[in-house]
Amino acid sequence: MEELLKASHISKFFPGVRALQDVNITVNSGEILGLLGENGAGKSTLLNVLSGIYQPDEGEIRVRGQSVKMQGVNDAFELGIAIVHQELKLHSNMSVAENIYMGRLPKNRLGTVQYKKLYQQVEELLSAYGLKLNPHKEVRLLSIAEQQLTEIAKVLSYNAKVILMDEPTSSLTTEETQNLFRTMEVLKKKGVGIVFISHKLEEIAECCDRVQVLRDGQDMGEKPVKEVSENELIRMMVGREISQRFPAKTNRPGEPFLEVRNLNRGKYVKDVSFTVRRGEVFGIAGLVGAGRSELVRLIFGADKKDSGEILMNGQKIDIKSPRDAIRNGIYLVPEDRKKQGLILAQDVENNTVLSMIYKIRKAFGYIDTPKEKVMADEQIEALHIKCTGKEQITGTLSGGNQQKVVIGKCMLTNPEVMILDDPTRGIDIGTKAEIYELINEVTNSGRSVILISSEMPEVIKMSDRVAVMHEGRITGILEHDELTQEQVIKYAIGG
Amino acid sequence: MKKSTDAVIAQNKQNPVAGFLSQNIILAALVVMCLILTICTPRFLTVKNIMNILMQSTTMGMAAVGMTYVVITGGIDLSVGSVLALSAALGAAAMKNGAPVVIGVLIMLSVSTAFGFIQGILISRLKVPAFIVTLAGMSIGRGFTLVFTQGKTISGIPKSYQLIGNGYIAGVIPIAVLIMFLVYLVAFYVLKFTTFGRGIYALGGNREATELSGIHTKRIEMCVYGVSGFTAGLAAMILTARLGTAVSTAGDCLEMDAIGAAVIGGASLAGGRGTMKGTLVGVLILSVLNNGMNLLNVNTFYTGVVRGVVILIAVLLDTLKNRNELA
Repeated sequence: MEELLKASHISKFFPGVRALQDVNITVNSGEILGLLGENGAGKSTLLNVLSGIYQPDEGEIRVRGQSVKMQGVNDAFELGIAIVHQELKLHSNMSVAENIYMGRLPKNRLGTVQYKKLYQQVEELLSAYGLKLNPHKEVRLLSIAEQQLTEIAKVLSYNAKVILMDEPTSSLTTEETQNLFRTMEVLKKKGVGIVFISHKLEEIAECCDRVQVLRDGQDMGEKPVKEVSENELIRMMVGREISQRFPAKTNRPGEPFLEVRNLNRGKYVKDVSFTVRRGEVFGIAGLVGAGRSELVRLIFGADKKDSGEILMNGQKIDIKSPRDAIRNGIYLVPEDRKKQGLILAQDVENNTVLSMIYKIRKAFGYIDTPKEKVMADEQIEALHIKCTGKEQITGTLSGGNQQKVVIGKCMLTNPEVMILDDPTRGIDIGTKAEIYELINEVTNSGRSVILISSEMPEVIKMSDRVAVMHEGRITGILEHDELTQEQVIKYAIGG
Repeated sequence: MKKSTDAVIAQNKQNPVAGFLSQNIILAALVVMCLILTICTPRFLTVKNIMNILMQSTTMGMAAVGMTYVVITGGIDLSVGSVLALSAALGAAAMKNGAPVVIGVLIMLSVSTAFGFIQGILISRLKVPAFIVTLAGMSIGRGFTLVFTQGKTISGIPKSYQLIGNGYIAGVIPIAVLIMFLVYLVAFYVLKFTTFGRGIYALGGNREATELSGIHTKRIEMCVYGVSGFTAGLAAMILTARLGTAVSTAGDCLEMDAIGAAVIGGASLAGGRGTMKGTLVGVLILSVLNNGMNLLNVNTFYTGVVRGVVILIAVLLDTLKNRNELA
């Protein structure tokens, strides 16, 4: 096994903060290294240092034994190191092949692109690494998983020997994740070294050979995956014992409360009916694209339904907009906090009270500013939002704290039914535990929660019942005691 | 990212002057411009000239109020100049034919506001891009004005009405300027302290998140174009009173001045950013610039070039400042 990349005693400082301190990392050929750590632990910073985006303040980087100084991504590319970012940067109106060879398209003497040659090159590349992609397809028509493969094919076309992957699975379904792992296996066999960031311990255990943990920018050491237990990893990550990943359930579901009857919207939601009880966590599982988010968006009035009705306490309620839903005591914490949850350029205060401004207005639409400040502070305290104050711009908060701001906005409206669409995506273990506690608190007080999650253990452990969706329909509703991953998957693939 | 913002804040705390300057760089630029002009020509810093500058800024200033609202939501209103001409012509014609002054003014304001609202409905409900709707509105408004006036100047407007444009309070402060400052004051409070203002910023900052938070995004979007029409109507009222006539070419290129002023004042065409204070400073910068070039006898053909360069520099400064804060 060849040592491809070795970085020793890496430190990186930003004004007022030490992002990395004395970190050592080695990437070997034909090996997958898992990189674990809570949000803000410095994982992304480390990858950015290794890929030439940041220059380390201290330490040395060696590529195949040679000491190097990289001034940018292109230097890293030349050395065979490539990064696949969490947020993909592809041209959506161009084909897969064009994206892969962007900037290096084969041209004839007149400067026009030789498409035949291009597609031939791309097909060779894809088959060499066993990547299942249609090179002619436009990127906007691809799923996120396929876009990721395109990005990987792109770096492979540069002959990358080391591939750094920043949370590639955070928006993939279980099935897509498995496909990605298979691709990673192929790359591994071809001698590529991979660094893989994930928050999911199961994934690290499944696909990695070694695992390295960062905490607060410090190197907590590395170990072969086979020799380390889940609890040990958690302890290394958070520095304290979290006895259980999921708190014990203490809620007692009561009488039926929210009823959804024959809800329809085009091909996304088909004839969906279910009832949520008071004080119940009602889970919705299914693959991405099964219509889970589309379903809750219908209930919340964010999209227009073709037909169907929603009843609360046996009374029909008319929901035409999110505003109607909020007025009726339903609140949706959307799946994408940055695009749908927050106004990133505004501060914590403005974001937290946004749904309340019509409730705290006085004559002429004046907002009751003192009340507003109190409400913002309340939520910062109740949810332990880590910020310099309610004046901090939400775009500068960490992912977990951003999510807490969205949840705070939801809590202020005091909803009877709280809909959480994948609330823990890309969030560190500590914050996850807090969100689980909150779900328990909410249901203990007799209010209901509808929980969507792309993490199977989460939806199984937290829910009282789980509805599984497949192609817009509910294929089964499982009671807590019959909930197993196998059952859920069976219904999720249409069984 | 977070740390560097903190660093900027911390730095500003350490040095209040530098902090104030970096927050109010446009205001500082206005002051510097005035200082230079004061040194260059004795005719600049006189009460008469200052009042003259303010007087000449009223048309652009009024239109820039509504424009700022529109721009903060992430939209644009190209129709303000045409709306001004149309409402001025209709109001002036009514007064010429014996309608009382009040009716004349009401016609101007209601025509312009209605015009804005109709555009707002098309933009917010039917999702036609604002650029296209107001581009069409610009053409339609100007076209109707030409049809109505047949290209002729409408004069014979009552003297009492012209007081709005030529009258002074206490012999020094022009009534028109006073009206403009009042409008800015109201617009400032609405934008900063009301649910409508909060909604405008939220809409421009992130439309989807705002809608999911239960804000009346459609209503707000419709209303900002109504406001823009209304302030164009106010501009029509003042301009007609100042000139004593209504012409079909009135307000030509007004949209460019209004957008320029808002942008100089820190509004972002991408939405979410902008202030009334900034826009007012932007209006004054453009007006002082015009006045200064007149006083210094700069060939008027150069005026456009200089204005363009000033707008570019202002936006460049703002971009650099933001990059430093966010990088």
